[in-house]
Formats: sequence, structure tokens, C-alpha cells
Amino acid sequence: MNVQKIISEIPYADQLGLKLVESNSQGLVFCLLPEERFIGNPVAEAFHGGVICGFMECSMSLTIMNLLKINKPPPLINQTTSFLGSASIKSPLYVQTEITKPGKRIVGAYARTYQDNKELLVAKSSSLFRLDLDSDGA
Amino acid sequence: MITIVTNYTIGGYSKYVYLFMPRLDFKKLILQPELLALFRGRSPAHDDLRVELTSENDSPTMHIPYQKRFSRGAAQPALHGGIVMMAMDSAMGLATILALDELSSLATLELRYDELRCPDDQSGITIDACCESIDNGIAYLKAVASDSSGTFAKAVGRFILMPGSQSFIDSAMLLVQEQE
Repeated sequence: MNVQKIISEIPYADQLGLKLVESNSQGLVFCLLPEERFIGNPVAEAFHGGVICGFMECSMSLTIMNLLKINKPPPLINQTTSFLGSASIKSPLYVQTEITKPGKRIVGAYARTYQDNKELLVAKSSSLFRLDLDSDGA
Repeated sequence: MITIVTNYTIGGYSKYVYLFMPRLDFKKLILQPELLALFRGRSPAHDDLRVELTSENDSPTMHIPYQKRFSRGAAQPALHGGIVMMAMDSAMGLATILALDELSSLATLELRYDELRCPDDQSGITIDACCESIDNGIAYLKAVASDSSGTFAKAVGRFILMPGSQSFIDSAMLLVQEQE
């Protein structure tokens, strides 16, 4: 499945500019390059928390689509995001995704966001997605 | 009246110490176009959202017009959940500022988002945010997102207050001073 092509078909993800950079045993790793329009606090020069939430949601959704071979983004049920530190606008953001519950109706996903140091998380997020019965390939 | 006693520098940023600070009347300010310009101008992310602000029942109401670039796809031209979360985070941050008794900057600690349904296609959205309490330096908030059909998402947020920090609130202070 061509994840980058799917990104180009989701206007929100496409305008964010997220890119798939790695596929590993846990899931997928996406990258978001810094841009001025992502700044939430110009004094701290940090990414807006909402941008991070949206980046993680897209990353988890794309990971599920890639795993289950579906062409339609699964509807989000909920997402809980904890912010663990400020995300400097001077470095790219990375999200490592993981599928925690590959159910038939509900899929659980987890995302960890970091910058230069993988061990130093900026945010973490846990989400539930619903698999619609009419989703392609579900 | 706001008295600036002194300033000092930490980490390259100049900081001011304020004395005799009354509670800021942001509820009055929110209806003024200068505050919206400030809210947008201080944060490129808010400017990119094309946020519009109003105030009802002492709480901020934020409107995000429909923008195709923020949609979910050709088959589902509704605003993406990521944009809704971002708008709710911003609205709850503003609701916290409205509820403050003293100068403080803030940061989101946690955001829980529940999407009851997808918003209507090609529809703008409205966010109503409410600060439930501020205890031990943590602000507890809730927010509701709606479209023309009603509520489609809910959120709860937790913000940590950082007294003495400079950001949007300092610029708002200057706006207050200019009006006095």
C-alpha cells in the first residue's frame, strides 16, 4: 500500500506535509517538518499542541489503513493526548505509531511524539477508531 | 492601573514584574477586533486556522470557517478531526485566560477528544469552551464542538499555569494599558 499516495488524498494530512520515514516492527514512523504556521507560542517558539494532536491522529489513522489495507480513513471515536514537554519549532517532529487493539469493529492505536531524542517524548496519545462495515477491505 | 516595577532577563527573554494588577476584563476585550487580531497575530497557528471569536455567557466562542485544505477527503468533505482538536485546544486555552485572576502563561497538559460523529460536509464549526475550575495551578476545562446540525464532538482539557511567563497575555496587557 502506498502510504504517501494516501496522504496526498487526505487534504488535511497533505497540507500538514507529513511524510512516512520508516516502517518497523512496532508500526510506522512519520515526520513533520517545522513551519512558521505551526507555531502556537511565538515566545517559546513551540509547535501548537493542536498541530501535534492532528499529526498523531493522522499518523495512527494511516497506520491502521496500511495494516488493514483499507482505502478510507477509519472514523475516530476518541483520542487522549498527554503533553510531556515543549516541542521546539527548530526541529522536526516524529511520530512512532503502534496498533494496540486490532479488533474487528474497534482498533486501538498508540502514538509517541519525539524530536531529536527518541527517548525524550514530547507527547503521547492513545486513540480508538471505529471500523465501518463498508470500509474497503475490512 | 498596572504598574511595571522592573524588568530582568532570563534565557534571552525580558521579563517584567507587575504590581497592583487588577483582574483583567478580557470578557469586555474579547468583543473588540483588536483582541482577535492579537490572538491571531501572536500565534501563526491561530492565524492559519482563520479563527473568529465571539463571547457568549462569559465564555469564548470560536468559529472556524470551512476550508477545503483542512478536509478529510474528496468523499468526505468535512473538517478533519485534527483541525477540530486544534480549535478546541485553542478555545480552552482562551477560556483559561478569561478565568485568570492574575497574569500567567499556560500550556496544555492533557486533551481528551470524543468525536460523536463527523461534522457536516463543507460546514464551518463552532467551539464553546468553559473553564470549570482552577485548582493548585491546574485549569480544568471542557469544550463542545457543533455545526448546523448540533454537537458533534466534546473535549476536556487540563492546562498548567505558568505565572510570570510572557506570551499572548502580556500583549493583551499592553492593549489594556492603551485603552486606559
